[in-house]
Amino acid sequence: MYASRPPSPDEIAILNRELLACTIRVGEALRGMTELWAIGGDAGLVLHGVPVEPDGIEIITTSKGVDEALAALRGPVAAAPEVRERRLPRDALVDGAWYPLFVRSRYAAVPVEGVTVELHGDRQLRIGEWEWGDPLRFKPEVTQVTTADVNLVPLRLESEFAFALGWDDLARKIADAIARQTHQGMKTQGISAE
Amino acid sequence: MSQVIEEKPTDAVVLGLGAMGGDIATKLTLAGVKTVGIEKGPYWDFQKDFAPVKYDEWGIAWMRKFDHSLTVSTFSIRNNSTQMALPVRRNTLGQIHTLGNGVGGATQHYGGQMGRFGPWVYQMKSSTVSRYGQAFLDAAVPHEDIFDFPVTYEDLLPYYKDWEMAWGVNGTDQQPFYPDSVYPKPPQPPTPGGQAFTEAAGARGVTPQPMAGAPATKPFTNQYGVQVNACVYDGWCGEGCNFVCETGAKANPAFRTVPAAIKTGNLDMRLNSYVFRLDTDSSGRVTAARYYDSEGNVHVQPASVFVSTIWGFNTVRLMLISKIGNAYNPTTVSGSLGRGIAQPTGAPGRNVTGTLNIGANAYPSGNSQGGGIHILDLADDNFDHTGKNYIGGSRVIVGQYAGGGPGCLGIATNASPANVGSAFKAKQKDVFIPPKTMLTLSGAGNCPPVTDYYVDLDPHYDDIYGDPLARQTLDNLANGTNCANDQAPLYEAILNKMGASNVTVAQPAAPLSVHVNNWSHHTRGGARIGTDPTLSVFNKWGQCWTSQNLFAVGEITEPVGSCTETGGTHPAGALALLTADGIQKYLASPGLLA
Repeated sequence: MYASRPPSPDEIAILNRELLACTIRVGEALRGMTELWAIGGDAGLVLHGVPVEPDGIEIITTSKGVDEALAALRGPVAAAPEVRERRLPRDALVDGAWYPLFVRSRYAAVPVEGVTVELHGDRQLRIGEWEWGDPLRFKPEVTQVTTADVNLVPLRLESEFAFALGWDDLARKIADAIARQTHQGMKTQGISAE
Repeated sequence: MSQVIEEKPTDAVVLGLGAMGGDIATKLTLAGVKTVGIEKGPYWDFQKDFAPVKYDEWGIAWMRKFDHSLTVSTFSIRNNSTQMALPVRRNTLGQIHTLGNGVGGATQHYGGQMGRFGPWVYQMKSSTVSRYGQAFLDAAVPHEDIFDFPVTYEDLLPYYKDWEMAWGVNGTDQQPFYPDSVYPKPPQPPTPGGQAFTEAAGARGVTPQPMAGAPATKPFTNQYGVQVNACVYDGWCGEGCNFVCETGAKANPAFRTVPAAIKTGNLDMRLNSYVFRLDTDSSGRVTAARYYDSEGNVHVQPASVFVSTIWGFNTVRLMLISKIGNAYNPTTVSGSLGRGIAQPTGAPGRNVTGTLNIGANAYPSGNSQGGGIHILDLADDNFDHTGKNYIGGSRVIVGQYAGGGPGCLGIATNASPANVGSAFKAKQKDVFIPPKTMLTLSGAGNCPPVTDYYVDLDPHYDDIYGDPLARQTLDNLANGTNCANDQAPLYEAILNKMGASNVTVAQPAAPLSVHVNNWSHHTRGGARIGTDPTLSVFNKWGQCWTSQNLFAVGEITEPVGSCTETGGTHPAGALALLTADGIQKYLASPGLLA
């Protein structure tokens, strides 16, 4: 008998109940937004099928989008909008050298269904003392969380970041998730899908 | 040397982690119930196991390499109680006897057709007698053994919705015969044939609707937090019951619900393990399940509650071998276990054929038989049966994706070991992309349960471990043929409206001119739920009348079936969630549930 083993709990992409409720609420509230918005970070990865353990929801948007999202989410604000810059807990590995990694955005935070939702407007990254990157722009991908349509940062963009920052473990998980969404069997057998 | 291994007691044992068992195990574990799942197959992963090897028409569609081995156990079949039943030991061309094998069960290979039962099915007996009289029913279905479900469509509606959300059922939200049938995902795109049928059928005053299906038509995350990939329309998963899905898009509890159960830490899966006996005490209470592991050891697994979700006749067989329940006696028409088996539909039908100039009806990039359009206006009691000689009806489907690759059953009519290979595949080109399409509409009405047909233990044939096989005694009914004969003229009118040429209506079919020569995956009954313990084996919760800590669910527990869905997974899925509730009620307060 050949067969793979059952997945271990840490190999399963799953949102816990609190994050699930929060995501649904966010999807419903932000459905009508005119500015770009999408869930990114670990929660976004899980919604793409990447097995990571999110502890909150990160929304990537524009500077104006922060205000629009706060209005749509209509709750007490945990952190009022302001431009923030901070060093991420994980460094970047570029050309064999480690560099501190910084993020800058117009930041706000709001509790939704008991979960902290962080809003990042015009988010930029900086590696070491290099220049700031461009504010993040992309065409969101859409998934459905129970009944709510939710925008996601595209998985291939997340993949590019992971590779560029030298986060090989995450890049590998993302590559696996992409493979699970596509015609891998045809590729391994040399069959063209076209 | 094999050993007998006494396992530690647990709260619940789920026999079989297929379509029903996987979902029940998930509900229980999420509620904190320590659950052991005993599954005779492995845990297949759609990428690691299916993706690299799925382009193998011969191995998968014909040799059934992902399915249950008939050399381990099978069933014997006959048409009436005077015949000697013979066991089915292999899959033969055109006759596939496929049971699931592994977590997810038969949903690995199924065509993925979905569809609820309509309200009439749940009250078939009382509704028919009330509207047309008992004499009408007796004339249409001699020796009828029909009784109502102990639950109504409305009772099951929340369970249907819960199940559809978890599995991501796609389909229509405008079905006029099923109240409140808003499915969570949009239907699959229709084929050219389906579009033509929609226009023609609509013009005839009936209500064509997209069929419900199992593939995820968009990516989603369900209420358990489990992420699901979308269908990639590679055309290799459907066509009857054949191909596995390489992206997990075709609904399967292994990729919809069981991951949430694993994440709780409350699910202990015993894979490649074959259940052969339930131990009982003097009160009839089940004390343990016995199973063989892959090395031949016998494990004894005690628990507070047991639920059997193994395929139909195997649940009946396991109970009969374990001396649980009251076996059906067809001579005295008494007893309930093994009683009332029935097919969802019954041959022979009456074909109406025509040629359409639309081509590509056998849509090569389709999947899971989706994309089809059906009408239910002539199903169930959705029309007046006064003056008819049958109950129920049929549904007509047009434009399903063919799927399944060049070797799929419906297309590869010339497949045989002698002509596989490039010559065989070359022949399929014209079938895949035909310049014109031959369309056949064929109704096949209901075959409700009658007292003549049943399942019992075969006195002659055993499984690989020496236990008797289950024996099916079953044949077609005139009710189905009468329906097909009556409805053929409407199909003819629809084909003419579609602009078909050479429209031909077959001669009326003679009842029993074709006999049942296999077992259906979707045979209903045998261990039915009901309100009368003399007729049914289980109450509405799926709780056994005689062994109160034994539950069961599946198509075998349905008192009757319907042609409104070809598969039976969808209605049984709703019942499974009801049973999961019943098990939790029992664990909280043991006893016969109200």
